[in-house]
Amino acid sequence: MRDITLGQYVAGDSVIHKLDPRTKIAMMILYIVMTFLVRQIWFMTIPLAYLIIELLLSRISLRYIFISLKPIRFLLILMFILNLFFTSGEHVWLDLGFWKLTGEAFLQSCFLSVRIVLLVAGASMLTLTTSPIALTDGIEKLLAPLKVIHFPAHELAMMMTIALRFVPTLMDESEKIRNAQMSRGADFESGNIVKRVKSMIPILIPLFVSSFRKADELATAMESRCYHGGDGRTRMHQLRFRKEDLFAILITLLFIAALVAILIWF
Amino acid sequence: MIQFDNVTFQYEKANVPALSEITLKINQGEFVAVVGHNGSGKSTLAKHINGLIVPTSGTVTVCGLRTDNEDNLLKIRQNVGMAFQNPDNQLVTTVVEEDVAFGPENLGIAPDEIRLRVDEALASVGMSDYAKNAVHHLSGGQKQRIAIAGILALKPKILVLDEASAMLDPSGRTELLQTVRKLHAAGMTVIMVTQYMEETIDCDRIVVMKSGRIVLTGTPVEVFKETDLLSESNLVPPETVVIRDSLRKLGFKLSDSVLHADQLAEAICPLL
Repeated sequence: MRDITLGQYVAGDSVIHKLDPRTKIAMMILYIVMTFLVRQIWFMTIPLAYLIIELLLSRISLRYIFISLKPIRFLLILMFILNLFFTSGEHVWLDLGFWKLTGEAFLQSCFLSVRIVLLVAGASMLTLTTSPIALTDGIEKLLAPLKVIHFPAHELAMMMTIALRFVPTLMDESEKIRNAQMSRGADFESGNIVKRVKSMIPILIPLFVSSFRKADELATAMESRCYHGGDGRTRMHQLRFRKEDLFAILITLLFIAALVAILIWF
Repeated sequence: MIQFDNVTFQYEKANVPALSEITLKINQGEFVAVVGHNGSGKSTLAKHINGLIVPTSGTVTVCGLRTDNEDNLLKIRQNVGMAFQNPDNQLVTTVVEEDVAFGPENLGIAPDEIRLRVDEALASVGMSDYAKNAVHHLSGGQKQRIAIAGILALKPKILVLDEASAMLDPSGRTELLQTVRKLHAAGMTVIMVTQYMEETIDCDRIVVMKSGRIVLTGTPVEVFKETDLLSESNLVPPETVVIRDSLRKLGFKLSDSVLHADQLAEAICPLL
């Protein structure tokens, strides 16, 4: 938990890791488009192939993908079953009188499950291969054109940076407060759920107060270090759009083109 | 270099001013310690130097620039680096080198130049090996050195430490003091606000504050003579000075310039 700042980032120096974060964000968006273009389960092989290539290139263990799928396992099962019940079809596999299991329903259930698995796995590829800091930089740069319509792109990125920085600090703090309250006889472990949630109040209130104080001190320190908003600010680490980035985007577009061609053909 | 002219400052909703009629001049290359008990106004004084606080009346001039002119503030803060008490609450980003780069990035300096400044700053606080580390894994003393590196990357002429050692353990405090002394030796003007009198022995000048006023100013030798005035301001002189004075009361002849432990030892030995 202490390394939560790194998110699920798995450090590495593969081709995928070295891509510009902006490229990887664009790749993920295109990949999502790809999975939504597909209307039949057999064509899901194309986004799947794309994902497998990316996974192999990134040299990230398949285990991490499974870990990222774990939180959605109940949702997947639920959706699979619901679709079995509520999709009608012609090819009856099993007739129980009040409900028929049809081939179409089974196919539809499989199709939607595969789509969700591919979506989540693809999104995890982004966070597994990009550090949160690089991701923040990428988001700031990608949103920069929106500054024209007064979208606070820099402020958003700065907020994300500071949030990432203070997650471990605030976790330490809450642990300290918890211990302090426990040493005064506070009980966090027993009672029903309502009682337990209520017992969090003596942790949350001091934590809130202290984070406001921290925010105030941090603002003073930032001002002292000449912070005056995003105007005229430079970055030490420049994002570089290189040959490899162009190549990666072209390949992704090629996949989409192939998919569209196949969809039109059949 | 820094000039306080008849400065009075009162916080909103406060009954008494936090600073009253302060006049103080700090020269280039000086190492000044500002000491005082809680609520003596020493931190308020420090925050006036880079314009975080602007006087209610009177003026503060830094490097020829007045702090009450908003247009001067960026220029002033470039020249006056400020380190604060809580090391955690002044680091902005997760990675050490990115945090050190924060200041120069704000000034819009070219990326290559920032890289040079960051490396230089980390080297001068002896933290080069930690450039890529996560900030929250460092000790308090190390965090405070990173904070100072972040200030040095702005290439300031003046370094203000606002009770920067207060939250550190003894070894962290020594680390910090050594770093500051090294910077002073390299020509930096240092203003150190502190409650620990031990830290002030090597200063050029000590400014003693009480209830928003300067009650005493002088070299350590001069200041530590005035034991009564110090205890009136609720300040305890360094242990060496306490021992020196107790021995004097017993009739031993010890000079006022005896401040360090080794000086004290040297002075006592012939008497035995």
